[in-house]
Amino acid sequence: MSSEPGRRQRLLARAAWPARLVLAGVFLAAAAPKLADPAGFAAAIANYRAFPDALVNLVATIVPALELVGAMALLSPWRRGGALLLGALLLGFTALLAVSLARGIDTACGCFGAGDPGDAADPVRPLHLLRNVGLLALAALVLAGPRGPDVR
Amino acid sequence: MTRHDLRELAALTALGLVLGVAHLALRPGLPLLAAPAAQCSADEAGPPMLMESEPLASEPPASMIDGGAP
Repeated sequence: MSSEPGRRQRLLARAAWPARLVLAGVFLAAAAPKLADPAGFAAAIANYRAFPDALVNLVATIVPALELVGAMALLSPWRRGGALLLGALLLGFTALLAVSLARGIDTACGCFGAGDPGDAADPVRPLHLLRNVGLLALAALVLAGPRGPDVR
Repeated sequence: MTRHDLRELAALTALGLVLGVAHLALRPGLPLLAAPAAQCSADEAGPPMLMESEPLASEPPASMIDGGAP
């Protein structure tokens, strides 16, 4: 008969694999349109009025690159580093969204790229904060999983 | 979180930064450091453009003011 901590570890190990898949899929889907249209994403970032104008282009290309690297790492043995990287990004995104909501900035989220110019279909709203909290929970699940080889 | 995890995080972050800067450098349309969006001095702007020759959209055509029927 297995011990309680041992069973919990096995459960965490099994839950960590789908969490990695979901998190990697979300961030790959988020990074691709931003990498394809950095100018559009730069415009979306500028609307947040959170960065100096001079740094907007730099942020607009570095953020999707970090998302891509983090997502790929999640699917590799570097999964813990990937989870930490994506968790840090998610904390930053969540803070940015919260500040924008608090300041009453009415802008498109830009979470999955710029979308169409002037697209108001995905404005920043509290639901985005909730989604980020869920994604942070997935990153925490990956970090809580075992350090050894993959368990699927 | 161990030191090994932090080393992975640092390496991945460095890779992302390099890729991001390289991506920006390969885009000729996007300058590395963008000029401020609202930077527009009075000299560059030139004289104000007054569109006196065109009537405002809310104004009725002259023909309607003068006589009614065109």
